[in-house]
Order: sequence, then C-alpha cells, then structure tokens
Amino acid sequence: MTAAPTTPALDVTDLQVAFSHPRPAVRSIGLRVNRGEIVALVGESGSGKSITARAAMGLLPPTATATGSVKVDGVEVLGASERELGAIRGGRVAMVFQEPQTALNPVRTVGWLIGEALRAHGRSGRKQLRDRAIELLTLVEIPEPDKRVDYFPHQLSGGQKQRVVIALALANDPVLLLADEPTTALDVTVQAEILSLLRRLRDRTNAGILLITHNLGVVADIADSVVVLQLGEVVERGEVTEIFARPEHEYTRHLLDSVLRLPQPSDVAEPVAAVADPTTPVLDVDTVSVVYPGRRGQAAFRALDNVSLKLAAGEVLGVVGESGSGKTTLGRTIAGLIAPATGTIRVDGRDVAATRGSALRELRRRLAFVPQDPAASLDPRFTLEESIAEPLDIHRVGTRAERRKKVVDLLDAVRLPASFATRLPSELSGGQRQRVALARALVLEPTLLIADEPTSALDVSVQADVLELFATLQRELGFAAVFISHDLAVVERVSTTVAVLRAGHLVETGPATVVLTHPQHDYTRRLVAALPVPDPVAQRARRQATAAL
Amino acid sequence: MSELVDRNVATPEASLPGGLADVRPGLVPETPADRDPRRGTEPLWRSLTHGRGLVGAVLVGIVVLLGALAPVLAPFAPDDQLDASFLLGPSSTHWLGTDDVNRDVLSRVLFGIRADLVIVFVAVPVGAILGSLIGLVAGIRGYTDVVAQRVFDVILAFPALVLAIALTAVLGPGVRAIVLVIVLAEIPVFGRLIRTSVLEVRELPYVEAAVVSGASIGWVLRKHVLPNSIEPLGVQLALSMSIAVFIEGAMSFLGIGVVPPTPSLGSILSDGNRYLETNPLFAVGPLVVVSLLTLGFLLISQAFAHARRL
Repeated sequence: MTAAPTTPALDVTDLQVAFSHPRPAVRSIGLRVNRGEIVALVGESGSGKSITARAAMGLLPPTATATGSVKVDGVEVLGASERELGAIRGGRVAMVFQEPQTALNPVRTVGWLIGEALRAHGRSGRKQLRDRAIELLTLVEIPEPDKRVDYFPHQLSGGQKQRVVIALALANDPVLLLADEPTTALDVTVQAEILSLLRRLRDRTNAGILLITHNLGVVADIADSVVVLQLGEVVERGEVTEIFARPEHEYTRHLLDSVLRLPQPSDVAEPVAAVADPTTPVLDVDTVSVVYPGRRGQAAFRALDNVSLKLAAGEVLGVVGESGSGKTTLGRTIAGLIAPATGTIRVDGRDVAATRGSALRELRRRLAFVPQDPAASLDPRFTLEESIAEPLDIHRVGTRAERRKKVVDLLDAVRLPASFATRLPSELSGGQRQRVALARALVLEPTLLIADEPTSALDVSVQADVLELFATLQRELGFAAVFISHDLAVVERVSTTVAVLRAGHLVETGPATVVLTHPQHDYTRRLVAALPVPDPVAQRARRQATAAL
Repeated sequence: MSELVDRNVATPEASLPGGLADVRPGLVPETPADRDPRRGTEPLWRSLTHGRGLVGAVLVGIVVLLGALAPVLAPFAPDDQLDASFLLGPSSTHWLGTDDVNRDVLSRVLFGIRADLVIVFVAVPVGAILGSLIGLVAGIRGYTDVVAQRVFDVILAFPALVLAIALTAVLGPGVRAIVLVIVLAEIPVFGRLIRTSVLEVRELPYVEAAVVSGASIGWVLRKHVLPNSIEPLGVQLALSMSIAVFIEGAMSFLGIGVVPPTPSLGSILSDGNRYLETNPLFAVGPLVVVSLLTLGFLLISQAFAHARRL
C-alpha cells in the first residue's frame, strides 16, 4: 500500500446500469480502487457486483444502458469507442477468470497464450515474447517456467492453470486487476496458495485489485477494504477489520452471521475415545473399491480404494475431501447408482448389489437422494406437487387425497406455502428448489438419505437457511444421512461423524467436532488450516502461523 | 468473457425484494409479475398460431385440403384421356393445360397430392416409431447400442437416392418401394435422436433421485425420457416430412417411384420436364406444389425448434 497514489486504478462514481427489467441492475454505485490496494466487492447473486466489473472492462451487454462515470487509471470507459476500449482491456485493466478450465484454449501452449495477450498490445519478436512469457510465469511462481512455457493447459494442475490465467492478466502490466471469484472453482488448499500469490503480486506490481467474491473467508484473508452491495446499491464500505468487527448495516451483519465457521480447538474438549461400532448399522460400507475402466489403453482409475464405514440410525455422516477425492463416487455407490468393483454395501443389513427385483424396490423405498445442482434437481415439467409425490407414485403409496395431504405437509415442513404445490421449478429460487428436493427425498420417510453437495451452489445466507432446515428435519424425523461436501464448515454444521477422503482413500474418520478441531491426519490438518476464517485479525494470524510451518 | 456472469444469477433470487426473502422462514414472496413463469412450457402447437409457424401450417393446410378435396375440385378424372387434347397450353378448361397422353394436368396434380400425402403421413411416422423404439432399447442396453449404432452408420452412409435405386432393383418400383426407402432412411435419424435423449436424461440429477427411490427403467422412460423428447421429435417429424416429399419427387422423377398411370407429384414433374417448350405448366404445376409442401413442413419444423430453442 503506497501512500497517496496520484490517480486511482479504478474510480467509479454514481454508476447506474439498467436493462429492460423495471428494477435497475445497478443503481448508484461508487467505489475507488487505489493502486496497490485490494478492494473486495461483496454481495449475493443479483447484487450487481459482476455488472460493475463488466462496466470497468467496457463489456456491458448492448441491451444495458449505463450512466455515471467509470474511470480506469483516469481514462473514462463508459461511452469509449471500441478502439479505445481495445487498448484499455488487457492493457490498463485485466481480468482473472473464475474457471481456469475454460479460460485457457486447450490446443495452444502456455507460451502461445501469453504471447497472444502480448501481441494484442503491439509487442512482437519470437524471442522477446518467449522471454516475457517465462518472466511472467516466474512472477506467478510456477516452478521450472522455461519448461512449463511449452506445456499445454491439460498438462498443468488446476492451481497452476489459475496461475497461468493470472499471468495472462498481468502480461501488459495492468494498473487494475479484476478478479471475479478467482478461487471459487479451486480446492481449499489450492485456494490458500492462490490467495497468498495474489497478495504478493499486489506488492510486486503495485496494481489495484478488485476482488469479486461471495466468500467472506477469502475477503478476511486478503482484502484491504470491503464494499458491500445489495440489490445494486452500496450499503456499507470500509476497512476490512472495521467491517468485520463492527458491521453497521443490517445486511452486512446478516451476511456475516450466515457464514459458517469451524469451532476453534479451544472450544472443544480433547478427543474422546472413538465411537463404538454400531451393532446394527443402517449403512455398512465394507472394504468397497470402485474402479472406472480405462479408455483406449489408458490405465483404469481407482476412484475408491478399500473404504469401510459404518453409520448408525439417526446419525449424519459428513464426507469431505477435495475434487477427485472420490466423495461423489462414494455417495453414488451407496445410492446404488454405481456398482462397487469389490466389497459390499449393506443398507439395513441387505447387500444392495445382490438385491434384485421387488426386494430391491423395497430396499430403495428406504433410500433417498438430494442432488447438488438446484437447476437440475427437479424435472422442469413437473409441478412441485408432482415432483414431491413422485416417490409415492413409484411405489403406489396411498390414495390421491392422501398423497396430496402428504405433499402439503412436506411443503410445510420445508417452510414453503401450500399454494406452491401447483408451481413449476422455473418459478422458484435456487434455495426454494433445494428445499423441494429435500421434501421429495423425505416423502417416503427414508432411513438413509444421501445428499451430494446440496447447498454448494447457493448464496451464503440461503445456504445457512437450508442447512438449518436440514438439521431441524433430521432431528425431528431421525433419518440417517450421508452428507457430501467440500466445505468443512458446512459438514461440521450438520454431521455427527466425519469421514475425510483423499484420492480414494479414507484418511480419517470420527466424531465431527473432534476430527475438525483436533485432526490427527496430516491431510485433514492441512484442509482445516487452509480454510480461511471470516475474521481478518484471526485469519492473518493463522496465515502467518501456517507460513511458518 | 461470459465468466463475468454470476453462477446463479438466473435464479429469481436476483429479483426478490431485499435478497433476504429466502432467508426468513414462512415469508415467501410472490413471483414478480413481469416474468411469465410458464414461458417455454406452452405446448408446441402454439407456435403454429403466429409467425413462420402459421405460414407453414397454412401452406401445408392448403395442400392437404387440395388433395383431400381432389374428387370435388378436379375438373376431370385423373386418367381420363380427352379427345383432341395433346399437350395443350393453359386455357379456361385446362388451367394447367394437358399432357402428352391427352389428360388434364390440374386434375392429375390434385390427385397426385393424395399419393404424396399418403406416403408422407404413413412412411415418416412409421419410420419415426420404429426408429424411436430402437433408440430407446439402444439407450438402455449397452450391447444393442453398439449393434444399432453400426447399422445406423451403414444406412446413413448411403445417400437416400442410392438406397432407393438399390431397393427398387430388388422390389421393383412403386409406392411400396418409396415407403420402404423413407422408413429406412428415417429409422437412424429418429433412433439417434431418442438414444441421445435417453442417455442424457438418465444422467440428470432428478432422474437419479427417482432411481435411488426405486423408480424402474420403465418409469424413467415413461415419466422423464419421453416427455423430454416430444419436442425434438416434433421438430424432426416436420423436417423429415419435408425430406419425404422430396424423396418421393426424386424417386418418381427418376422413374423408380410411383408407376404410371397413378399420378404423383414426382411422376408428373418427370413427364412434364420433357415438354417444357410446349406446355411449361405441365412441369411447373407439380413443382410449385412440391415446393409449397416442402417449404410448409420446413417452416413448421423451424417454428417448433425456435419455440424450444433447440
């Protein structure tokens, strides 16, 4: 942070953006990003944070009408011609994308991609471009940059790809970096690395960074100041420590309250003895391996390797792990959607894979599944009543009137009005849809419910509410559940026991509070440490402690 | 650059007052009035009531009416050989003139429509049903899929006309041959369509949720796969009908389709082609009808596709 910069990297005053919709997408946003400063733009879906970033890139859709002023390094962007914008984009202002997978052209080498960004701004010469590419890769701390420059994107890991995306953004020494959810698609441990890289880059390049995120842990970790948006308006702004310590606006307080935190080790007594093996478990996963056959001569992939778990009635097993750990495969195998290569899965003492015909149908009556994506968890053609009643129809349970009654009861249980029964999923928000998916799962009163990241696509405050509902219903109805999530705090909130998966292996299992506060295994310890705490003071202390390790 | 768009910006949460509404239990806002929630769920036929769908429906409707009312509308019997009427030009008695064996061209065209419509409305649905059934089975069972796919490849590798010539060499020309060619040509088209749909829909999260709760494969096909396929089927059906009109025309034109003296649009066109200088309407008449019919089906297909944004 340099003192009194002459021109701010980004200066937005009274920006208004409207579409054909009666409510303007952005009404009167003002914000300033100084050079060498990280400003976090925080808000839920529809708050206008992405539109603001688009305006700074001169990338508003043609249907938008914008008024006000957006100055990048002193140059007005609103109303600038395409030629002027071409010089600004990728030059003065650059963008770090959310999804490194799709941001990089898979048929070009890293060096070519960086060269393209340089050529667009008038640089040339094979040798010079290559040297600059290597220099940039060094800047983003990719090991062996002179070799990696000739790699294709698929030869790099997710974290390295995101580093290349950042290198591309830095190619022409921008004064402003727009980072739109730069770590949302990454695992927590990788997220932690990328965040510390961003912080170092800010110091090295003195660029201003506008960080758009919904993750308040990330904000606490690296932002200098925070701007909170709600429905296209700035409701609060200030220094990061101030905002977290003394939020003034109701909405900011609400956002902060919605954030799930892991309990601190000091809050929990020392680990007790492991829970006794339940005698008649609802779910018994016995040395299960799942192998995906290799294609065209490639080696087969072992998604799960000798995993054993037991779950007693009424308990919730949280399954955590990073991408590729096999947690989704485990959930699908338990649900009977994938057949295990070896080992057995018993639900209520019956081997799922060996059960056929009507016995299998009976067994499945006791199972239910809540999918992840709210956009696809309900059939768009079914009314909510049809969706919720589908399991009843499948098993021909009850008369029409009884089914209808049951649907109304369940809508009430997931806190939706009975009048919603005739609505279609397209009329619902993401959070409401996931509640309906939960209602459908509970309609047959299952003994075992499998939920695969049911809240990960929702906004924080909506997520908190759905989790609360899940926990309440679980207590009341007493079903056992397998709850899969990449988010440790989410799992801690709803689970009694936790299983940590890594690359198909079960690395640690035990009572939730114990595993997540006093992790025994190295990997669990790293996972817990990498999770940013939504408290700037504590998070900064943690970061230094982790760095010292 | 579309990465700028929020992941769930499309959900109505964006338009809820305060953005907090979803958080407070029991306080659920009504859907904003400016959004039509049923959009995209209205039945396909609605797209026939306006725009190009309407034009297509009117075109097909006119031709169907002409064919249906042929016995009333036609001034002469289709194979009536009239006296002293060799290749006459258009006149008030013979609007499209007469042909080389003294028959009234207009009457033949009107009756010819019937042959075409029968072929189109029989052959295409039969091909569609057979293809869909094969597609369903292929989508469920892995090994039948491999076989079906290779057979489809073989059929699709033949241009329809080459297939037609090969088949008539065995069967002899006639309506039967045309129907068979169209059925054969359409089976892989519909088979692929339904197979893809099955594979896609089976993987959808809400279908998996139903399977976990005990839904059988039959249930999934009936309740989820077929309703999901109706719309692409409608689009393909209309498109295939326009192609079928073309196939009939081409086969009869080549002399391997409908056998004289039975009139069909293709065979009249084929005959008239030889006398363009004496009576151009002999060829132009059936040509216009074939074009209108093809265009009509094509427009309907486009309107369906547009309504579904396929």
